[in-house]
Amino acid sequence: MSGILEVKNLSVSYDGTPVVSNISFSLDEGRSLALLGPNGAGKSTIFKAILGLIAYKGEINWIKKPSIGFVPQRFDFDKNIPMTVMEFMLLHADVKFGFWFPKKEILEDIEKSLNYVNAKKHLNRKIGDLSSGEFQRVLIARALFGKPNVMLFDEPTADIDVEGEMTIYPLLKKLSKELSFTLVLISHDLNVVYDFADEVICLNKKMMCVGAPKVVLTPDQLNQLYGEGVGFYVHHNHKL
Amino acid sequence: MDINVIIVSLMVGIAASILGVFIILKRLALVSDVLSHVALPGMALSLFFGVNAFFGAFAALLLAVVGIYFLEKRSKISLETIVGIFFTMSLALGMVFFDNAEALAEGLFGNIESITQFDLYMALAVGGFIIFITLIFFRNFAHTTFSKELAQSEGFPVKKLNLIFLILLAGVIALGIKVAGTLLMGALTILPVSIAKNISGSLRMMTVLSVFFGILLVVLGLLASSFFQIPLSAAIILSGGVLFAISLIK
Repeated sequence: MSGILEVKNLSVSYDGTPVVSNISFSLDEGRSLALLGPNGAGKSTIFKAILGLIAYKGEINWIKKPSIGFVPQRFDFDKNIPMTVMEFMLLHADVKFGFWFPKKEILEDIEKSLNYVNAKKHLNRKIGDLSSGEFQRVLIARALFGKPNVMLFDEPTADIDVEGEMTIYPLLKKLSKELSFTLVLISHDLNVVYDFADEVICLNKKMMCVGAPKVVLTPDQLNQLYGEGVGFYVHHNHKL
Repeated sequence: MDINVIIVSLMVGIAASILGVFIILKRLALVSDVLSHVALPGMALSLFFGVNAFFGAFAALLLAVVGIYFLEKRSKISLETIVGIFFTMSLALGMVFFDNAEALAEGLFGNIESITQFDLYMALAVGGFIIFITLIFFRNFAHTTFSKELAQSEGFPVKKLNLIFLILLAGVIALGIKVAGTLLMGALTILPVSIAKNISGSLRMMTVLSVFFGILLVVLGLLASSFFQIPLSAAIILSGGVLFAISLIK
């Protein structure tokens, strides 16, 4: 297994206040890595740094040229804007031309991407009419459309319907194997990390642990990360 | 009615309605409305220097949009506050600069009598340019306004695109001041697309319908203005208001 990403001493500050300090980790191709930590721990900030959206100190080295598929946690938009799922997909950077009159191959690729996440039926629906779970699937399909070798998945904190929440992780894991992409996910859910990540980085402004979830997520570690009284309540009802 | 007036009005209607799609997508309806007031002191200065009102208005608007761009980037003042304070001040400044009430009224409400052959060329050249650039950047504008973060992550130059959009906005408002006046030009950028939005099932349909309504409002405005002997700017905007109300009926 070869390395794809190496992060060394990554630090980010907003207006002089450190948000994350001295984060170092490396990532092998085809693995799944979870960033775990309480709200405000700096998980999304690390994503933004990896995506090159914010200034940072330290090094982010891609060993292999990445094609990043990014699934943001959420974004605000006017739900009354009549933009269809198809149009939303056509805005993707890889389409370049053909927003008005897309080529047949592009349309087929879009349908294929939506099919992966069982969302082809939403093709001509308005984005604003989708439930949060449906919209998340469309966002994943959109990330898949760019044929990524790295997928950054930022878990929504709330709002996802139960059906969406229960099925998205096994699906992501399955797709990462099928389409051979490396998965980096932000999660707040210990069970998700435990079940679906090969490695975990515990964060609270700085790195608290790194390693296989079953090894490093000890009760002591979790107490340090979240405070007393947090533990595992593993459930095995994730179905595809 | 003068053919120059008809063509200039149509070009303004088309350019405003196509750019208006992004004004609505960016939720800048009120900003566009108030931004148009900035043209007023510029118009007064061009009157003073004896040049076409377009140039003064465009210079003032350009200064304003570049100002917005940098202030928004570098300070924590919200866009609404910047617009609310500085742009209404320029309205006040315009009122001071205009030395007679008639010229001021022309600036505020537009005056098609003042449309010249030169304005026709300007409308064709500038209007054509705005339409062309908006179509070229359509997908980029749509993406960066719909989801800035996602667009950034895919390498879209969000800030540059925003600046290009603001310059186009300055251009379209400056182009329309003789037709609609500084008080009503903002409305012309948002009315066609607002009507289209109410009845469209997709962004592409909304854009096509927005241009259609942009043309229709101008045609209805021209007819109403000549039939009822009312100012063209008011006739266009009132037609738009009526169509907007109709578009709300489901």
